[in-house]
Amino acid sequence: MNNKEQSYKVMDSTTNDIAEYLASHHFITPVQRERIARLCSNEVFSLRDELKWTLWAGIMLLIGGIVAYGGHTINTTGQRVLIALLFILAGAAFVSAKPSSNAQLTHLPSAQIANAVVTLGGFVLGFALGYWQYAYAPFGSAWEMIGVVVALVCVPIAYWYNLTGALAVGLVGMGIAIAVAVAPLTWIMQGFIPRGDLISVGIAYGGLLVVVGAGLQYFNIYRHFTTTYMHTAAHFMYIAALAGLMTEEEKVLFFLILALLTSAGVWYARKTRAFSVLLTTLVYCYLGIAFVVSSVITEPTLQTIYIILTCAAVMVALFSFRKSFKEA
Amino acid sequence: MLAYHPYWLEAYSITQEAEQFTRLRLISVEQFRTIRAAFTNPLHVLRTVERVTLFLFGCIAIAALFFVLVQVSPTVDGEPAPEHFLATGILCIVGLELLIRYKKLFRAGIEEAALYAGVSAIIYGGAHAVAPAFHSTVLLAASVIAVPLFAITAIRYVDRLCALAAWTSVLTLLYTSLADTHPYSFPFTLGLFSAAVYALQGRTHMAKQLRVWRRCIETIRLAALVTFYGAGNTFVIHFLLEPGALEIASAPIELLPLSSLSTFAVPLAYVLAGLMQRDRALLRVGLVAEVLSLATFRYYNQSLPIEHALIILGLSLMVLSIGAIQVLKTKKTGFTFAPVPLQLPEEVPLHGVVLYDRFTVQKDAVHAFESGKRHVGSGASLGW
Repeated sequence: MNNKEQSYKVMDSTTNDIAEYLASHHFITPVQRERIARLCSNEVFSLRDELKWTLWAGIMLLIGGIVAYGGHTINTTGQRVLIALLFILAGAAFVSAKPSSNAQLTHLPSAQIANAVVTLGGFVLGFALGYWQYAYAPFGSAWEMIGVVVALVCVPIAYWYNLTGALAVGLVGMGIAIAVAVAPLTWIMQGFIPRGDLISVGIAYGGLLVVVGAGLQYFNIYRHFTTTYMHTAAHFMYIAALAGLMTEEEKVLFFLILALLTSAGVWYARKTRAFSVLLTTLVYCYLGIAFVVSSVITEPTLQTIYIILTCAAVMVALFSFRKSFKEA
Repeated sequence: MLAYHPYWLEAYSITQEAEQFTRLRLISVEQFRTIRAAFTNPLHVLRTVERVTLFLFGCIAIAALFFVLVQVSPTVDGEPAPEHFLATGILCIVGLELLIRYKKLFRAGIEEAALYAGVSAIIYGGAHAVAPAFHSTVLLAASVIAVPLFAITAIRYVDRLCALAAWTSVLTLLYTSLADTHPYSFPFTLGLFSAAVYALQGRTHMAKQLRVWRRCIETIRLAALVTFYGAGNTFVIHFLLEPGALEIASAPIELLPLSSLSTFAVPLAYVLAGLMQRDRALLRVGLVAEVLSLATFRYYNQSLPIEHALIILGLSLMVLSIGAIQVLKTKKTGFTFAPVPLQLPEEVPLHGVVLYDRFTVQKDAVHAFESGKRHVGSGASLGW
């Protein structure tokens, strides 16, 4: 672990007192206590965060100035300036990430910041491509190419840099590309949305991601990406199931699919002790059940009592799951 | 007065600090585990994601409870009455007390939702119920109720947001009291009050009896710094004295020479004092205040187009910060760009300091735990 992997915290007099107390009860050695005391005395005062923030404030102001210039000259050179700025920002985000060969280091603060920056870069790239397509139509009528390009850029970067956020952006980009291919924007603009096709494709794409994630886990290839595949797959399948439940005729079928997905989500969360998966599962399940109940119960007072009871149930469930996670 | 036993809060503080020491590699993981085992406490503290989720569900449940009350006892006009707010608030506070008593929730989302919703509902309902009876404005009535209520909740539940709300309520009370009678004295009163509280905080911050509330006191300290700056800021003074005039952004105003000076002098003083006293909070407030002062300057001086102003300012900040980073790459008069602590001089390698007697540590850990339990019984704190 190098210096850059260290988190940083302002130490104060209470920290010093706690260190003294711990040293007096032999929890820490006198040498450690001395080091903490020297840190608390600020004999070396690091201005790292403050200078970084100032630098970022300068960068943001510069970007703001360029955006304002683009806005003022939108009819002449403004659009090109804005598109170029977005591509430069996305490129800078990708270039700033440093490859981490060790997957075990992905939880460290520096790796998480790199993950967030590249994820943001992926979103900015998608936005830049969308704006470019809207203004100059470089892909003709093939809007799905935006998602394909985002996926083609983000997925290799994710594997090269070991970044889960970039992988998620790439997978979502590919999913959107498939969705736009199934239901072109021109159809949607004309008021025709082939919902059945979209729902089927959403569930199928989610299923494919589950298979890929499970395959990676089974063959021990980039195992730390499994949760990202599962998460993305879960979102696609849950959204598709909820869309089916709310719009299609076969409500029982989609309710069963939602119940199946919820069971699978709870099982996977308990197996991997992934609280975020459990949270996703609970929220989507809550939405689905709330929709069904609200269509059955029409009395407003009963509906609000239902909300109180279910919120309490969700909170109790989260607590009990947390307890079981800790005990497992 | 405290809803939680002081030992629990102190034990929680110790384990939090020990976790931070471990992250900074000042102590080993084994030492941290020993400390955590010694200072166990029954508090249920959740991680941010869980806390936010439970907070949201708690808010939804409380909102639904409010609507049930409104539907169960509707008013003549069908609108919610102050009694509905008061009933909701009281139910929330009762629920909060039960949650703390039986589930020992602390920073868990649910109890925070109950606290904030409960106090807000009581203040809103109470102000609307009381204001007509005393022929006062709702804002004044709300401030009068909010100051003691937020102060009590900040003390009882050791909550920083309530401490900040209490501070804001005091300022609102001052404003509503002085706005009509002595409007021009309000900025000076605000500045003096903030300075007095800051000075008082300096005396109380180190008091061991108040250690449990140190984060609340720190919040008040930061708020006092911000308020002192705001009391001298031209824009704020203008807003407080002539709110309507701000609608014309470019309207020239007769600025008080003192406020023009303090708009720029106070942030500079904060930054210099922060650097000299090595006070990071003061330094950071000063930097943010500098930005606000520049925005104030821009608000009253629009000779340069906004895009040019932003680009020039952005480039200036970039050059300034890059230059400072280059200079401080090597340590200069105690300041550095390197991350502390590993760049400390004469650093002791970690593997050289963890050779402690495990048996002694374990024995002491058990002793400390037993001591803590005794303290729980006697109602006293550890006293570190």
